[in-house]
Amino acid sequence: MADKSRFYLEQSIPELQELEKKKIFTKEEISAITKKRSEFEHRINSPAPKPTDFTRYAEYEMNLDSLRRKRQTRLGVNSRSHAGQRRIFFLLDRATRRFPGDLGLWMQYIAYARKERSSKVLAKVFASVLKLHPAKPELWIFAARHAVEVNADVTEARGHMQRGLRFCKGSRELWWEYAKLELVFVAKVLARRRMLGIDGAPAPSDEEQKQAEAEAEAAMDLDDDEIKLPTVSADELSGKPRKDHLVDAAALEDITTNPALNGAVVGAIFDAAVKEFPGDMAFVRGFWDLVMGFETLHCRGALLERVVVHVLDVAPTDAEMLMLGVQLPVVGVSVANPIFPARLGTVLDNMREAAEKAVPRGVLYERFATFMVGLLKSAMEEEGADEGVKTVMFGTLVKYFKAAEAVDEASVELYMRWVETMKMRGKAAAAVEVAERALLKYKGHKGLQKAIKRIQAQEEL
Amino acid sequence: MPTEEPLELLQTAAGAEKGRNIHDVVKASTASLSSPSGGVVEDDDAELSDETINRFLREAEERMRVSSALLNSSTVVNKISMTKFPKLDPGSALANAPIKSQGSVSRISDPSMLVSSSDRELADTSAAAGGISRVDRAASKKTKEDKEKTAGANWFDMPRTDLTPQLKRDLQLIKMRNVLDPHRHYKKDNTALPEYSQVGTIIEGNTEFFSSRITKKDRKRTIAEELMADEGNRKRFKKKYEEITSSKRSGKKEFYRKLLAQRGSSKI
Repeated sequence: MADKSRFYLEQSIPELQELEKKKIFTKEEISAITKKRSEFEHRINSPAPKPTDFTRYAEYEMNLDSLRRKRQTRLGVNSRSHAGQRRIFFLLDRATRRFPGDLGLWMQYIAYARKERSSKVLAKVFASVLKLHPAKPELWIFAARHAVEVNADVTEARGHMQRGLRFCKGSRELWWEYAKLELVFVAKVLARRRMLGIDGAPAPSDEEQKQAEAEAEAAMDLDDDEIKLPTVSADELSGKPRKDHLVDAAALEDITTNPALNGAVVGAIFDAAVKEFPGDMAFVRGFWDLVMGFETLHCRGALLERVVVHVLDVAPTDAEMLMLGVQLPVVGVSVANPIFPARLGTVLDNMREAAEKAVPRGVLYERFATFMVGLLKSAMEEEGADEGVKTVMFGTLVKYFKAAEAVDEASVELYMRWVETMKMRGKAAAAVEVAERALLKYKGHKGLQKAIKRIQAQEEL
Repeated sequence: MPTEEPLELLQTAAGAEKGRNIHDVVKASTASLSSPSGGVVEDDDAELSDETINRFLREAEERMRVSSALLNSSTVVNKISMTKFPKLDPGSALANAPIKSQGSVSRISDPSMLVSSSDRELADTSAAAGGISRVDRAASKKTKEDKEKTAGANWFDMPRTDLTPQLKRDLQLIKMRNVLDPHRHYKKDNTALPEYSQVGTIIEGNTEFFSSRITKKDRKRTIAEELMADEGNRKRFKKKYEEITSSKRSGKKEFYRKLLAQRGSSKI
């Protein structure tokens, strides 16, 4: 133990001598450093070291190294050696060798290598950590994320995901994240085409541009979970429309013929994934939510339809899954869009059919009510929404509220939606009446009581 | 079919190009009639019949087409492509790097990593804390109080050993029983004195009068007394004691004493 630590300590002597010679550290400081290092070395070379011993050593070395760098820049001394960085890498390497199962140490290694921007070390560390922990899906996702964000290499990320899936077939998260990767890829390609002005769309109008700018502003203060692309296009940047495309513009502009840009890959992922999770509706639901997040993606509708087709095939009576099919026609259609009324008609037809099949009918009614109230809210807020459409929505909601009550499957949630609807329609008395009726069934429910109080307070005002 | 407005409704419904099934419509319209305020649109508490819904939606569509055509007859509504993409999310299962770096300063974020649990325990209990064990004192006090008086119901409530000097000697004798009889050999016994124990007297049965009985004269209160009562044993112990002490005394002071005595005699 002692000779081992002595060996490692002796290796740092030339470096310390150089530091002293260049007057970066004084003699006293050097002896203090040696003392500290000796203490740490003996600790980590003891018969039973702990992972924290390595972490604390690394912390000390990191701070020491940043102090050295600061002094060097201040004194104007240049040193070609990267001894500090190399020391820390070596230390973290020893730590991960000693404790290959401690993921905290591995993550520390990766974090430091990232901070130092040493891609070679990163590649090595990622390779070994994935080799040692192939059954941890989060590591594969992390590696893929690194590949996309830092290396900007989708192929590498895809490779990580696919290799990960060979080990962790049963991980829902991994399947979702793989689908997300492919979706983001398609969306990015389309966004890039638009920026370069090769998507065949006319130049954006002023209004749109303003809207895009406003969106960009809003995006600036978003959380860290999203990547932001600049909204400026190549045409705007150069100041003149580019006409000298060397490639065949027609072929490029036609994205409809390219299956990869039409969600074929994501669809294939979905098909492969559902084979791994037979009857797992939570997985399908998660996939649906994921695809729903890509609002402006042109192939979203097709993908959602694929999900619905699968769901109707495997679980034709599951209320929650039927609801996915019911809402499909109006997904992505604005309330102010002229085709909206026709689509709404289809939704109502679907709902009528689904209500006959659904097994926990109460659940279907509840989900439908939540969905419809959401639509109604957006219709109330949007300017172009038609009064007739709103009337239809109200009528339908009331119809299904009553239907749920008739079969005695009205949940608290459903009653809450009912009260909300009545309030939106400006019928406070009816809302209170509904809430009181609900309270007869669900005695002492806090939410309902609160809702009544709120309505009554508003009435008094 | 009743007359009034359903007729008109039927016509409009039939005129709808939505391909709705006539059978449905008829069923629905009769249903709407059965309710008192079937076709009255103003009261939206009442259910709307299917054909009313259809009519409403169709009318709404027409209105919206006109208005949207008026509004943006020139501009084509163009989908704004995405500028924000969700990042891949490894989830909360992924471990965090223990050291957080801010600028040029790195710190271990979790304070429990700074001192190992064993060190913390040591610092709390031992002399390092000024001889006063902060954590253990209360605990040890509690254990003293909590020390069970008996070995528990499984041991028929055997009491704690009442270690009198006599009992201690007897227990020691049992432990060192290999010296009592040179022909009997026992396993080494390094166990501690029992925590719970009771002393009992074996009473011989009717059949054991001649075989395994200690005569009344030889019966004593303790094992030690019984051993000492026997003349042969006493002699043997004395002899053994002499042997051991003489071998232990060889050399050292005894040797020196003898040497001095020899020198003294040679002087004379």
